[in-house]
Amino acid sequence: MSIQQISDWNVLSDEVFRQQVRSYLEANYPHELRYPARRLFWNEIGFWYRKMFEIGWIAPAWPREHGGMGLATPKLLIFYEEHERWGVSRFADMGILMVGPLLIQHGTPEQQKTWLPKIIACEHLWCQGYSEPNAGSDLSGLRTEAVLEGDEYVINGQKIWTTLATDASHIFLLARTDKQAKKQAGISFLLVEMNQPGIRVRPIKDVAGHSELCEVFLENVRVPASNLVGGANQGWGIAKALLGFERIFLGSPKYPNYALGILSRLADARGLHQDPAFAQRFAKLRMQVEDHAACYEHFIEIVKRGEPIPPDISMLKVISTESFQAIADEVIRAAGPIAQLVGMVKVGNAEIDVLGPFFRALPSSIYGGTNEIQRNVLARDVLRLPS
Amino acid sequence: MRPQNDQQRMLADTARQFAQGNCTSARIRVCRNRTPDFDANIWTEMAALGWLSVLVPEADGGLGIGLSEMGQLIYEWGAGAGPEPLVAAGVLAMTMLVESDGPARSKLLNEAVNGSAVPALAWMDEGAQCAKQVDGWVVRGNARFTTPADATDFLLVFTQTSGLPALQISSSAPGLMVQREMRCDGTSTAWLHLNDVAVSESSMLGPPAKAWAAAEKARDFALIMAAISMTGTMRTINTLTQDYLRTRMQFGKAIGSFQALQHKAVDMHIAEQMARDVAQHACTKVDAGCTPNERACYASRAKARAGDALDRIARMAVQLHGAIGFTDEYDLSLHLNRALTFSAWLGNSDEHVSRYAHHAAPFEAAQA
Repeated sequence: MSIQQISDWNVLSDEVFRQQVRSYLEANYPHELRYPARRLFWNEIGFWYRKMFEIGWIAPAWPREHGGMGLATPKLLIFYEEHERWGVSRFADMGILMVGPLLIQHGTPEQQKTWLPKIIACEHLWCQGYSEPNAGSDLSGLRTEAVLEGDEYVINGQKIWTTLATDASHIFLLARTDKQAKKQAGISFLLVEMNQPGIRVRPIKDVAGHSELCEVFLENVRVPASNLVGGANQGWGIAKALLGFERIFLGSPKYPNYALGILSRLADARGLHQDPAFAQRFAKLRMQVEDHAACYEHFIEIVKRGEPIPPDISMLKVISTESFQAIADEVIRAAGPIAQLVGMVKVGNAEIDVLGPFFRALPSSIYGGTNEIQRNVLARDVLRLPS
Repeated sequence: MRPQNDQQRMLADTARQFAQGNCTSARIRVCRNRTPDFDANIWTEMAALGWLSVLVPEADGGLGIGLSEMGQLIYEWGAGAGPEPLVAAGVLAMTMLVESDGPARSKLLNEAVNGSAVPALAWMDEGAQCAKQVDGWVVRGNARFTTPADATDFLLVFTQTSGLPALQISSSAPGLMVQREMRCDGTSTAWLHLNDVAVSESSMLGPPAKAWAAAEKARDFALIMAAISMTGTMRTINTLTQDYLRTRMQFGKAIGSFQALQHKAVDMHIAEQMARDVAQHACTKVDAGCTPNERACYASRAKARAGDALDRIARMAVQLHGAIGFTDEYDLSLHLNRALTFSAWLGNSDEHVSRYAHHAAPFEAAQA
């Protein structure tokens, strides 16, 4: 299917736009790559995002002058909704999601010219260097250091839990540029090419046997001072401001809903829908997903109206991850002895990855701000409890 | 309830003022375990304010607006824990009357709207008998959990398969024995025992075909409004608890600074927000129009969610208060008992999960 070239997507009606996105995905996105059990690597999903670049859909949120689709918020939501609905896999997309918007907001015209076209064309793949072994939930305690020597920064330190660093050609990182300043105040935002001496990437094998997460070691890594974004010691502020409304996707009902679909297929295959005890548990989880969607819709309405996202948003992530985990646990429970088998396994006449939802759900309450941190934020900013 | 427009905002503001003025702890405590279990003057005032006509069509002298509007009133009244039967009489019985088309409808609806009659819907037990006579019916059977117990009139609804009409009887009808059972929040529910109660043709509310559909609509409306009322209770309990966490000092600090307690308070907050969103979602969807099966699903979801959330919130609130939370004197007691009452009334969470499963479209079809 070919896609019409449109000068302004926003002039289409929401319904026509949704239909175009939907039919393109349905006709072109490979079925076997829908809802993968883990993050896909570039050699598995790269072809798709090259195609997205070719048809001009790679950066839906970027303004048109930088090669994006320039979608207004309601259209952007539709675009993401349709991708979620079809279970389209992400890639090492930090360039599109983070670096691009950051440079568009805070970069110099030179920086924009240097970096943005390469991101759009997927020539540069980016990963995010935030967490460190001793700076997880307490990110501002990070110790990776960048020292200015002439017109270069010399970086030393270590990043960890870097998603898909093995795919990335570049890493953006938060590094300490002023050791005297108070925690958040002495941090800068730097763009670093990974293919250079002094950078070593080590994949970390996780409990599911996957290796999407990595450690990144930086030893006397030199980058031009022009790779600093937003001014020295301004990194914390701009990184935080970057958390736009996309945060709400961390709380979307997509994963719980997807897990519920697996649970239903499993129950079909094992004839469980006739078991009244199971039927009751299934109905309750189904209601949970629908209730979560009603709650999510309320925040979507806020985003559509263009209002700032209230701090209450933290609760969506808690709801989403906990219901994802509850459903994934029910998949294991409903699978009985099959749940000891790894990968795609035979269940009746179906093939199901019974542990897939569990392993995807397990870390979801850790990444993106642990659920405990979310609760701290709610206690402080919403309930205004004393500290 | 989040008001969605100016009219709803206005209703919410008026309701909040009225509830704050009339739901004092002292008055609620006076009404407890009393006959009647609510204040007739306040009921009349509510009628005068138009609260009882919100769901009544304009053609019948009502305001003809929807659950989203009624919800604003119920929410505030729930938050105040007023004993007046706004959901039971003002929604459940009122909707049954609105949906009826028999000869008894018009007069009773009129009186219910102006507050001079207080109707209660009574679901007759399995096996109740209703024998056709030349000029009416003779009814024999029981109906438990009928509220308000102090109703002036009972709207009898027989089981779905009975093929019987819906009938109106007066609370003073010969042959009717009203056995009051005390609920933990201090209101009562009536166990009706009908021993050959004669009902005239003119007291027919609806023919068999119509009666059950009307009662189901009334049930769904009441479920959604009960859920809204319960989210009002949640708001009050959470506010009380958070205030207490801010002011109660132990170990030289406000106990609300302790993370273990903060996280419990946050979970109570999340439960409240979600229950409110789900109940409000049900109002919006039902107001916009849906099939009876969809309506039943929205209603059962709202009630199940509210039941689970309120159960957790109410118990946790006592724990976070410590011993003071276990006393009758501290007002949390009023809301805890109201929570228990509303959770069980019209079906608890488990029952509504089953009801949802019964009415929901097949899962795979719904996903497509």
